Amino acid sequence: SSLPRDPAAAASPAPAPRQPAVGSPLGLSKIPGYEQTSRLSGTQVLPRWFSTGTSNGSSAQQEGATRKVMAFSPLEASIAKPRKGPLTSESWKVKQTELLTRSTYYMIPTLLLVSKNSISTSLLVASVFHQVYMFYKEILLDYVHHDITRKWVFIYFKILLIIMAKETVVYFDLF
Amino acid sequence: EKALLEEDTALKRFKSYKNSVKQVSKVGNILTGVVLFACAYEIVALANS
Repeated sequence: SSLPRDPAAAASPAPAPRQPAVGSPLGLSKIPGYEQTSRLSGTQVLPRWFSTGTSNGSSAQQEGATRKVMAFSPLEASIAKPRKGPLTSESWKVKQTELLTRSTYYMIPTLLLVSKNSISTSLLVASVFHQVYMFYKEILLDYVHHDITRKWVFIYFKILLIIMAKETVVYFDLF
Repeated sequence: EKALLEEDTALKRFKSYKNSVKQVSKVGNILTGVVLFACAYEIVALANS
């Protein structure tokens, strides 16, 4: 009921011509089978067979019937509202780490070419050591299978790399 | 029913490590923070001296 209805389309007995879903924020019109008819509200999305089957009937009964249908496909339910949970924050952390890894990967050659002062050079050192850490992390994830051993290996390796990066920065007088 | 809920010695090998993993990761975060702080402090002290 958020969208203004077209009175001509609602009054005509013929099935309303399909319009591209203009107000859909999720881009559901791109998914085949999920289209918006003009007489339904903007948030209500129906599959094609459902909307064509009931478009000849009366409007009030049809809407009453369709209100009861909540989310009958898992795809629609997953699109409709993102769920909050510990796994969501975990995946956000994973995304953050991936972004950091990718950005440091591209920062290394860029800073090698561009870096002029000491701060950007120590940033280069830090990104190199971050790449080393992620590289060995992948290998250790493959070969160390006990959870606690894995954690301790990561902790000690991270501390070692931090100290090595610090020594590199101090040795070359980057600060 | 209570006999079923009691700890089984045969299943003791399969206990979950979730809590200890959390503890270890907390310790690791603290250790990493301490080391990072010490390194930053040393660099700043060297830069100022």
